[in-house]
Amino acid sequence: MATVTATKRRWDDVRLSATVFLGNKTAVAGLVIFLLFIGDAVIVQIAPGLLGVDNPDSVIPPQFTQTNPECVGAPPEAPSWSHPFGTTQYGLSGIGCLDLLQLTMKAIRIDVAISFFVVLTGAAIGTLFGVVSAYLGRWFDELLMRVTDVFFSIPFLILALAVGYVVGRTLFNMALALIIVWWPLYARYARSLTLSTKESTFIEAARAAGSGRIKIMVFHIFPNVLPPILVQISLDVGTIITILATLAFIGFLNVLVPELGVLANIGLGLAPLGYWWTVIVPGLVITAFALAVNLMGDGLRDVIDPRRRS
Amino acid sequence: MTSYGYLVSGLLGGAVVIEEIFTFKGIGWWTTEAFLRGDRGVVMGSTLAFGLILVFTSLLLDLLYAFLDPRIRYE
Repeated sequence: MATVTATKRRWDDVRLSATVFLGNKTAVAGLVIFLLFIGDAVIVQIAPGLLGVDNPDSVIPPQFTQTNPECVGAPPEAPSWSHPFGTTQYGLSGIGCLDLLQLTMKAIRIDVAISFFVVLTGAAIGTLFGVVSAYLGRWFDELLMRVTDVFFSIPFLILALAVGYVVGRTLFNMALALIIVWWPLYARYARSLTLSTKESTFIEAARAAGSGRIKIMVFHIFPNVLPPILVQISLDVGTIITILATLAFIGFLNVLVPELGVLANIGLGLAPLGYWWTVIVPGLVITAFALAVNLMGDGLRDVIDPRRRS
Repeated sequence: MTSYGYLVSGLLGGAVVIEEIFTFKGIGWWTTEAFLRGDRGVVMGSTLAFGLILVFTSLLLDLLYAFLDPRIRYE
């Protein structure tokens, strides 16, 4: 009987949260754009043919110049019905006819995947360290906080560049560099959340009832720390995609992969010649994603933390 | 006031990108060039320089904050 009431109450909570979230029009708009991006990423991953995308991992398909010799040296074409985002050209007087819509669809898959990977891994590492450090306290806490201070004392882009220099300039290493830059933020956040949860009376009750440290951390502190961390994750996905594209834009990668920053970098030499869409299109796509994620994250925060509701 | 610390961090990172776009030959451009060419000494040096700038700016902000708001001063 008691479990039935508990389940029902939980469903009521979910329904109330959904009502609050759906009542926020900007958050819903963000969610829709976000789902479009996710849908694109999933379709390109599973069945790229559905969107007319071939070779989702390469900017220039293999044997492209042999099969399309007329494209060598072809200038970028302005957006039209056959190429809604226009086309771009790799290298000055290099390989043209590269459809930007296709490239963007390929790039979204890679960008979304990497930003989720970075944020989730960073959040997992940071939350683990933050909770343990705040709960154990004393020298361990002090040590960890000084370590995070070191990470905060260098601007994150510079630190990511320096890490990239050490580990090498591939796509995976770019993700690795961003994780190394990003986890201290979560460690700090989880620590502050744990410190305030630790003083609650239910933790005292659990301790009085004889629960061990690990049990308290896993079953009592972690579930209370998780919701704000999830909101932070949803907000950070947009930030990370911007930083990711920025790093790729300034030439982090030494391999040519379809990534929004790389596309903008390709267009950088073309834009001053009047081919503005080669930079504007990737830029707008990044902006749209970051904006959508931020709007959605704000909506989620309103649901999870009613005190900060605006 | 306290948010200025994060702002400075963002600005220093932004300098790298902006200098790269406009080929303005400042420390940010220098860092990226060194990174792309694999110049270890310059990467290490400029990372340290950026760190020092950020740390000293934060220190300055903290001191300024204590000056403007005496309540947070240590006795």
